[in-house]
Amino acid sequence: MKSQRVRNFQVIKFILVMLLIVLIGYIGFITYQIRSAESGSGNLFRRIPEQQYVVITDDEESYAHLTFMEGVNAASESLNVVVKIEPIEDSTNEDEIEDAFKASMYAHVDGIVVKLANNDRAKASIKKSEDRGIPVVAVGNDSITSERSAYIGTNKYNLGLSVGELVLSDEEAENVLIVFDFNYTDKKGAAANNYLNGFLSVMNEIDGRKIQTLFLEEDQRIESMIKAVLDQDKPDYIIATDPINSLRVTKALIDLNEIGNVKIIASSEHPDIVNYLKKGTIVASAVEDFQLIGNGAIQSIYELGHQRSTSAYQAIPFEIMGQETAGERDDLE
Amino acid sequence: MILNNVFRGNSIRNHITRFVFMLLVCFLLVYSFVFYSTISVNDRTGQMFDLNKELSRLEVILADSNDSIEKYLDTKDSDAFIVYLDRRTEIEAFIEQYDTGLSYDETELQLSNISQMLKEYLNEGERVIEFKRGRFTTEYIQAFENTKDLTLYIERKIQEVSLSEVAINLANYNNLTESIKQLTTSFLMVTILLILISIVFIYDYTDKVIHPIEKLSKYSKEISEGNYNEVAGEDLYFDEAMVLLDSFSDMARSIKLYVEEIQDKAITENKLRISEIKNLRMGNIVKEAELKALQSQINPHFLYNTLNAGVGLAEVEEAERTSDYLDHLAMLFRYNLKGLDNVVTLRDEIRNIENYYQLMKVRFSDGIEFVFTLDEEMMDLEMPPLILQPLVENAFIHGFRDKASERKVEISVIREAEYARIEVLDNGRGISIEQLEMIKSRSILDTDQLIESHVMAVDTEHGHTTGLGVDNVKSRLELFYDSNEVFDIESKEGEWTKVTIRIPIEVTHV
Repeated sequence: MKSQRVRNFQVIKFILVMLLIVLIGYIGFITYQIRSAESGSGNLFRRIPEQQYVVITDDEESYAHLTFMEGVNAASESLNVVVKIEPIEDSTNEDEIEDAFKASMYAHVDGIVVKLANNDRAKASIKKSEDRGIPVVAVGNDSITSERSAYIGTNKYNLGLSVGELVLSDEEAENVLIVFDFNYTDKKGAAANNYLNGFLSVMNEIDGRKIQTLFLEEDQRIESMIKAVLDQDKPDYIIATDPINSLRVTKALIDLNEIGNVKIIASSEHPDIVNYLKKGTIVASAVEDFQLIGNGAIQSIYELGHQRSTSAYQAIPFEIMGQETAGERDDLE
Repeated sequence: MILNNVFRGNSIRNHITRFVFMLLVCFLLVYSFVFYSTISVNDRTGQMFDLNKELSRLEVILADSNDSIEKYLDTKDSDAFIVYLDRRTEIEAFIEQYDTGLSYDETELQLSNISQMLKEYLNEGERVIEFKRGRFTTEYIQAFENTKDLTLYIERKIQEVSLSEVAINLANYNNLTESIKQLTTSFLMVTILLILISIVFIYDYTDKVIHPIEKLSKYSKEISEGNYNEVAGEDLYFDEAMVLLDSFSDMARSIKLYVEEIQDKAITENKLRISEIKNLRMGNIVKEAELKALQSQINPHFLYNTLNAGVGLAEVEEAERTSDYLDHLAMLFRYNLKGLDNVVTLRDEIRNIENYYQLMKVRFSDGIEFVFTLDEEMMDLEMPPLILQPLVENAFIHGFRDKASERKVEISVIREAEYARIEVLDNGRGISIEQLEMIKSRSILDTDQLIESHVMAVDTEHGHTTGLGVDNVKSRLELFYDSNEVFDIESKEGEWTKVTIRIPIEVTHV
């Protein structure tokens, strides 16, 4: 009885002392955290970036941009460089673009990545930057006259051509609607032009086919327009050139019960799109590797920043993903 | 050495010192953490908006600098130039303080960028002054436009950093507040825990201090009740308690030994006293018996010598039976004269009875018969003298008083395990139950009956050759063998009386 009581005491004492040690440890940890926040000692072994780059972009939200930034971040992490985003509110405002460039130049950044709907709008600023010795890499669409150091992106002409060949293979495809999102809205932009040119090079209206284009403004949504388009002149194919509109078109057609009547060619390998592909809701998707583009952009500018040569034109391969190849994505994952 | 004792010793003092020390260390540790955290938080809160203030100041400096340049360009005022130089120095100081190079930290990176812009601004400012001094109007105007342009970008950057810093500081402030809240809660919990631990430890210590005292109280009570069992060795936690328990155990052991010694001594003394009393009593009995014998037979030696002369005379006159009779009588007297304090053998006793029998045969003619059944191996056993004769005489005096014929006495000696059983059986008139009980109940070994027994030891009736009665025989046997089971008497009134004497073969007489 006595020894049992002694044992109970020992257990209680042990538990209390353990609790005390844990609590004191916890208090020590909080103190350390507070102290670290104060002195920054938590980053005692922090790395100092070797160079600083700026990404000037008018797209901060799209799936393409987020995937692109994954590649940028991966590359900057491995190369030990810091990358800052310089957002452009209005991509048509050349003054705003110039301001972004000037701020970067005054800050003496080591390189600039320009990723606008139409990089030609930044032509003058690109030239100034290059003149000040700050290399500029154009992404997505080229601006050859700007004297940019390098271009990296998908060859839109070839992309349009591949999609055109895919549609052409379907003999029943007589009416095609191509939807360009606001990033393509500048019809002077090389991206849209190149894409269309590529598409039209294999498929044109000569054979009696009809090719419609829809350029969405930033404040326009496809869902509100699709019914009117279908009622007016129902296309056999709708080709969406960006991931978000691909999904919006698909959902709109599902709601209108037009899947099958209207075939969809989407863009990107967004998980939802891959899923629709597997189900057969979408017939194909043109997949641009934005991550690889982001990674390549930083790699290129890093080389240029170290006065090393790099390819002035880097076309990142794309892929037309069909229902049968969509399953392979899971295998790869 | 002292510290070593404190941390390793097992005394109450060491335990309490250790406990208090640990308690103080815990409190000190926790208070240190809290104190340190409080100071850190105060510092941090104080510094929180330092950068914002510095950036605001920088904006003012830049504006002031631009004004002074402009004034200098307009008027070439030396005071304006001095102001410009002062602002320039301040800007340089800012750069020196905040240009920490590239960083992954957003604020640090922005400050680095601002510093680069400020350097650019200073260069342009320098160019403005140089162009003004060189009177290159177009160039200084362009350079001044550049400085203003730069100022705009710097201000924009400052706004960005300020906003970002406010957001960061707010987040930090929230984090700090949360940390302080956690710290306060933890401190409260530690305090409660320490109080709980103190209560548990104090209760435990108290228990450990009281337990030995309870134990000792219990042992004390046991000792006071005469139970001197040794205290079982057990761990009493504290050295003091162990020392106390050991001392107590030693004391109990000593008391036990002392009491045992006193008891042994008392027993020995008691035995000695009883032995002395017995010896004294035996001596008294013998002496009184001898006195009685002397009183009843005035000169036994004279009688014995005279009987021997009679024997001689009977032989001369050829009276053979007379001669034998006198010879037996002389031998009986001679045996009786030996004294009661001698030791004889059973054989001597039997021979004496045979003499007595021969005499009784002459006296009572043929109406008497003695039957002897004897184990020869038992015949050399030692015993007090004149035991059997008084018993046989008792049969003649009391048992055969009213019987004229067929008077029979059987004497047998039989081995019975470790004893020799001697029986004297007569077919006389027996003894009444009351008398028998009275004889049986009397014992010379019973202290209460000493006096009475003493009186009864000597037969007051006439007729005994020895002058000794049954009580005397019984008393002497009991004293000789130190046992009250040596003598037994049974009787059936009107039919028989049997006296049984059981004497140990290994004689140990007192």
